[in-house]
Amino acid sequence: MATFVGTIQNRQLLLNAIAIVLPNNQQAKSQSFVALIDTGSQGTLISPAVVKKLNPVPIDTGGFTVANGQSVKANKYHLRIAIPIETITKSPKVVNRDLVIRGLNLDVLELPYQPPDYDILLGMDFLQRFHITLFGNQFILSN
Amino acid sequence: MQTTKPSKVVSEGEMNAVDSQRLIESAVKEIEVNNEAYNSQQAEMEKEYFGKYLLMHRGKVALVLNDNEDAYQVGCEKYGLGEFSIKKVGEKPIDIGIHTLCL
Repeated sequence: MATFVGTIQNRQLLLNAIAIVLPNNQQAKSQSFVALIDTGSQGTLISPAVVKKLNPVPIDTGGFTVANGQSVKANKYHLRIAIPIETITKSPKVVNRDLVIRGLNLDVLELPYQPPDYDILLGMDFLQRFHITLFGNQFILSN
Repeated sequence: MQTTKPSKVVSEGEMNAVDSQRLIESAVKEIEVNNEAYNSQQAEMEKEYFGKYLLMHRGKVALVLNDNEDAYQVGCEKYGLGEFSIKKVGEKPIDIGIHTLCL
């Protein structure tokens, strides 16, 4: 089974995720950003810093509901969001560890503010493809 | 013989940034036009195509697809990036949990 093991820091599940602009008319661009795992969010969101660095082309507008029940509009982008995952293969004498990038092509919305600690918010549309385990000060994503 | 001098030498990086900005501006305009067209016929669309993805171009529905990935691929191949938008019929605003308090 392929797994990613991270450490819970300051009671937050943070990891490095890679945002990739899909190669079509544009040059393929990718960059690593700090991501927060948030099971409370229905969707995956990117900060204005990701948009500034990758210059993705929007494909639509979407919305999210704010505390007073109204909805706020935001640009929607079609990006590949990926995380590094370790695969372990064991033979009687050798344990092989390979790092692979596992990701999904998703429609993501742009956050209207810049969070201080992270640039990507991994919501349930991404997380539903993984098993998540919280144990001690570790979190494990596997698929 | 008259020669014209370029007013400013533009580097490849700057050129890409300019092209990229133009592409984004064109995409924003395309989205506005398509959203307006979609909103005017939202009720009929929801009756007929609820949950499907509409590939829209110049204010018209070009194709109805079951998957956003397919819609994106077809849109890029047929019209080029920035020249189409993808609308999920009946999509509701998403809940982003605790982050709503920051908005």
